[in-house]
Amino acid sequence: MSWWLTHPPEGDLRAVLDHELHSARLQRHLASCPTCRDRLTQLARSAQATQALLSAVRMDVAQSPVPTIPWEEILPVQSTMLRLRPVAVGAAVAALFTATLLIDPWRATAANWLSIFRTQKIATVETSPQAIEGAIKNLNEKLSPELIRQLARVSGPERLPTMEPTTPAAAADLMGPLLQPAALPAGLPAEPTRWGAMHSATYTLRPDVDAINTWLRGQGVPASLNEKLKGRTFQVVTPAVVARQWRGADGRGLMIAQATSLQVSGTDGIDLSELAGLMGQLAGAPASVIDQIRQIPDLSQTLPLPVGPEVGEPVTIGQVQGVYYPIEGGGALVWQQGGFTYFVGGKLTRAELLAVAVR
Amino acid sequence: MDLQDLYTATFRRALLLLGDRHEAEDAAQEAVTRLLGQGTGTVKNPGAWLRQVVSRLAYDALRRGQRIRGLPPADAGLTDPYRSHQEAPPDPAQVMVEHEQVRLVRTALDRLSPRDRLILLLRAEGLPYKEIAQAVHCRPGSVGTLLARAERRLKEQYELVANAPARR
Repeated sequence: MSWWLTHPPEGDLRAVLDHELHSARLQRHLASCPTCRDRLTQLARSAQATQALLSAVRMDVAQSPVPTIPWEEILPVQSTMLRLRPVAVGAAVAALFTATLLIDPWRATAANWLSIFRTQKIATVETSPQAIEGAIKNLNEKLSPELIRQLARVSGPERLPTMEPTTPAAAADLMGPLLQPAALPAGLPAEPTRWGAMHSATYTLRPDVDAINTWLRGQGVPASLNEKLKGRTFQVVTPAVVARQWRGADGRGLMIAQATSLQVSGTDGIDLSELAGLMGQLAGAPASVIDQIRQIPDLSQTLPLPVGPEVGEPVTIGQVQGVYYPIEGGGALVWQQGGFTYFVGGKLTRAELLAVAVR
Repeated sequence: MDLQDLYTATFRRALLLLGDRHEAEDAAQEAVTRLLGQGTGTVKNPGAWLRQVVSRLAYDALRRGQRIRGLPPADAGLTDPYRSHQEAPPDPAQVMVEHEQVRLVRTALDRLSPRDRLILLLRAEGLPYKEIAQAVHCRPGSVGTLLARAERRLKEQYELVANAPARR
């Protein structure tokens, strides 16, 4: 409630009407002040008139049909993304890397604040769905954006980039040449039915090494950050993404997404292998997974992707290595080429997806 | 409540706030996608969670000015590529009779600021001040004042629209 000397402010009276404010002082005042009782009556009339006007709109909306095509057809394609996202997060967490396309910028920032990389190729890491799930759960519980702000000085755009509808011309401006489907599966329209884009953003991070190490001890992680990191500042450029979606009339769908690399700079001389181990422990990743990641010879330019039974399998896409993730009703291919991460997925067969991806 | 029910409620909330089917579809889809991305087990009350998220998305969309201003909801469906081939266009005379009041109110709402518009519509839906404040990024203690002002502005705009000489 606001402070007032003679009469309560209008907002307080309005809140009384909505039973949002319970004030004995205000009630006593109303009992003794005809002016404020009149104000309250006027506000009540205004509220009733508003309700009457808006009820027509609300009724119209309540009777409006809910779209019948989009949800059922979009979901399989999007669930592909959703299911892959945690899959990639698991590896990224354990490896201190991120699948640039598949996880949100904050998580990417958290996972990568101390690494330097511009991923140009992928490596596969044998793991299990349970290990991935456990790592994701651990990190979700442990690393919140609020905590990151406590452990590091972060500057950059207040609002994180999100995927927004866009036009073909704007997408080309953002990304340059886009991957063109080599062959569109039957039943899909010739042109994408929807375009989306996410712009990149630049963040500067200055980790508080002492605070981080104190926090790590509290989490029961035996390792700690190297003192060399004190006073270092890192610049993180989150990836730009362009996604196109084709929706067929028969429930099939295709999504092609293309992302620039996440770039982290300012980390010269830092032992990525050591940091990868630290992050792996924080995520509770199995020792075998951490070992595999630490053995990747060129961590700064390699994107580890998880493979294994019920996870995904290595596949050759043209001249490069990628990973195929089978998903109920469809699947998805992920690979890196020419500085971009590509995602081709949807409610299609493996052969159809490969035909889209490979010329 | 299954996913389709959640989507239906979310879509209708978005349509109420935005007044445009296409944008409502985008906002609802984005909200449900975020819910799934959170993991269904981590959100205690998915319905309430979606209400909050889609309200914020709608507010952001309105502030970005992406909405097609002044397009009445009855007409919006005709321009929606996902609906147009599925449903027969409504009879124009019927639309005029049934939706004239809606059109007037929608037009008046279109003339308000995104914040005034959302505060009015969210309160009309019975949301508590705390949730309204979260959606429009203000303090809960300010909602009463903003609401009272928005009600006056809606009345003014509605009278202007309803009394305008040149109406469709």
